Amino acid sequence: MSRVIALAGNPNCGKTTLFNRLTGSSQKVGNWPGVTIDRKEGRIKAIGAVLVDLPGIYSLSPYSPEEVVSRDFLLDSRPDAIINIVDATNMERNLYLTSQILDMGIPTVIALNMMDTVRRDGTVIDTEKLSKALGCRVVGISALKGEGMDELLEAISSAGETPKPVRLSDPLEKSISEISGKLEGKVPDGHLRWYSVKALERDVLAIERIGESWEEISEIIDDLEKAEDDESDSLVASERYSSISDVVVSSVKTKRASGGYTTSDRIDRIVTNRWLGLPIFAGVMFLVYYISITTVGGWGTDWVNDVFFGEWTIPGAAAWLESMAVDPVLTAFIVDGLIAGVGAVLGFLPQMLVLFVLLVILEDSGYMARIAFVMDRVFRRFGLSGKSFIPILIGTGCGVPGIMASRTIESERDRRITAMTTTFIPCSAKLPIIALIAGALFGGSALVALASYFIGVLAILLSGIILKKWPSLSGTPSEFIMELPPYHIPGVATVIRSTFEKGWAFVRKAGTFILLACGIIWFLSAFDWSMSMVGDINDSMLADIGNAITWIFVPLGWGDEWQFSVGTITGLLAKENVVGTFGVLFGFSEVAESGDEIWPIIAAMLTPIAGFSFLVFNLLCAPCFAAIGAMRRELGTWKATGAAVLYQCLLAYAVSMVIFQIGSLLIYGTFGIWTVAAFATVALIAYILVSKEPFARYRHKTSEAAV
Amino acid sequence: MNIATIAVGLAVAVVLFLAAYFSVKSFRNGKCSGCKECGRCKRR
Repeated sequence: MSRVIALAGNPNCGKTTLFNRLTGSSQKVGNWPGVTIDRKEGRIKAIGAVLVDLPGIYSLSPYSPEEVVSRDFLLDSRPDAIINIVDATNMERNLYLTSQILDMGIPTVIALNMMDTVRRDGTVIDTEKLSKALGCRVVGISALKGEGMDELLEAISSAGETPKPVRLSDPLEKSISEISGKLEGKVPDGHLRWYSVKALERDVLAIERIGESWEEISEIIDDLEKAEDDESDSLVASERYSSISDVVVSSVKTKRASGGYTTSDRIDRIVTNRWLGLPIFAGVMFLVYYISITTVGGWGTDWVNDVFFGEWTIPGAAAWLESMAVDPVLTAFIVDGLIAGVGAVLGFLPQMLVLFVLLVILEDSGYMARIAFVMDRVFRRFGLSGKSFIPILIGTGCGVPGIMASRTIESERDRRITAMTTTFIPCSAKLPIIALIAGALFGGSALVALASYFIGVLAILLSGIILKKWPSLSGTPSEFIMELPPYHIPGVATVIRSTFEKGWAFVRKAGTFILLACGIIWFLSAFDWSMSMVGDINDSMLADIGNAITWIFVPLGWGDEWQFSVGTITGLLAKENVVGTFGVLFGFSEVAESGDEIWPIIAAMLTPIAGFSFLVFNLLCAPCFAAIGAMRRELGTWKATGAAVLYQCLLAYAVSMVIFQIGSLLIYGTFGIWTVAAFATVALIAYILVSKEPFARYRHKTSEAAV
Repeated sequence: MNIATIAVGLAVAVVLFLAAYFSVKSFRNGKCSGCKECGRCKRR
């Protein structure tokens, strides 16, 4: 049987980068804490061992669900060895976990990561001295650059010795020894020291597992606390930090005088500034969207639409099928249905790839971690914490991992609110809708994408206030403690790999799910209920279905045209379907072939304000089925998931109606019954925001339900 | 119906079958979009 090696360390110290390096995997890495939320396994072929990447933890007394994953694995699965990865740029904090891991009695190798950064800063770390002080092998590495990998592999292969635990002061060691005596035979032998120390700290899980012996142990702890005049957990933590400090002082020589500023510190003084932080972030995001939507990415999309599909694929496929005398219905199905639908979606691939590259660079450089810090100030005012921003950052790629990342939040109420609102931020699948509306109605302006992003953030903030007033979700926001990683130049391989994976996921979805959906949409739009082909699309089955539901969206400004209602409904399966549906319904194949674009057709059907209302509704309403499934897992019940989806749809409807009705009043001077409804909606939202207990009447029902 | 129509029709049917198969696979239980960001896709 293969040896099992656990990879454990603090959040954002490079565990997944090392995991990828040792196993040849390509797991998602990110320059902020909490990227890994579940354990992952891979094989180290060089030594024939299984490597388990665990979520980052600061200590073995976990607070959030993903931290529990790490501790339970180390305790219950008892790996053959542990690679404890330590951020060499911040040893004191990282070694706190190390001191706890050494208590577990599992053979341990310390991988001192980011040694390249340490050298650059002029710091010298004596790994030999460190190794002697900690009683286990210490190897200096750079997971990003692949330095020290051979030595690390050699150290893992030969790791077999039980490490010696970090020694605490005599009174504490005496109490630990007494507790060990009581626990002997009641906990696994290898973990005796660990359970004894944890019992001394009055750790909840340790108390649960110890069971009946707790009464006697409690007396030992009471005696110690009386003698030392402090709480036992504070005593243990203080002793640990004191021992670590001695170890660090003896083995690390820092060039930088204390109080001096590193380059990262200097940059942070500007980008995390109370007043400048948010405007700089808005400027950066504008630049990102300007490059990806309006300029570089836009040029790529124009080429794919006009040349790749317009001149090559569509005319080529049509001519080839005609030359083979293939049945015209089948030809239309392939060209007008499958190629037109998928082509309309894939046309946006260049814009998405450029956006992915830029977002990966921002993430990997360490800038996005600063944004979570800056947003904490804003979010806190609205009842959420900066921790909620990490899932949102992840959600810009795909809502599913974004929702799952809400597990990093300790408070259950905050976690539920974050899982319910993360999908308000535009994911990559929504980008084609944004680019389509921006191109068709706003001259391809990057401001539309920027507005979409900030409307998503505003919707989350608004929901933070509203949902926090709901009795079962109220409470103070979680504390947000986050260490800002030092800035570094993003690795080219990381950027390419991450961009390729995101791009490939998009292409794969277009080639499977979207292809299938476009085939169904074409069939419904080409035939009537008696299965005869229609000359006019308005006589089709799809037109009848669209007309049956389109009245719902009349107050939003785009309910007069059934195609937009159908696009919105198909978007519930996958958001890319909105554009794919338009590709089929607006004859992307015909307009692309004649050199025209689909945009003028949409511009002729919608006013800019109606188009923006359509965009906002599709951004905020229920996410795709995959994201709804992820929400179900995080919220626990279908009832709560249904309530979350209903809330999202109602908010999307309200915001879109307000945008269209009040926008139309201001721009075109139109006034009607729905304008009154829009003002009433604004008044209702304002009441909920201002009132202290707008949902007081539900308090009784909610508490009953909770019981 | 000529042979080309039958051949192309069969090819399209195979493509749609594969598209349906992989769609269902990646959306199994409505839990996953196959984006690979959470690590579940590559867990061994």
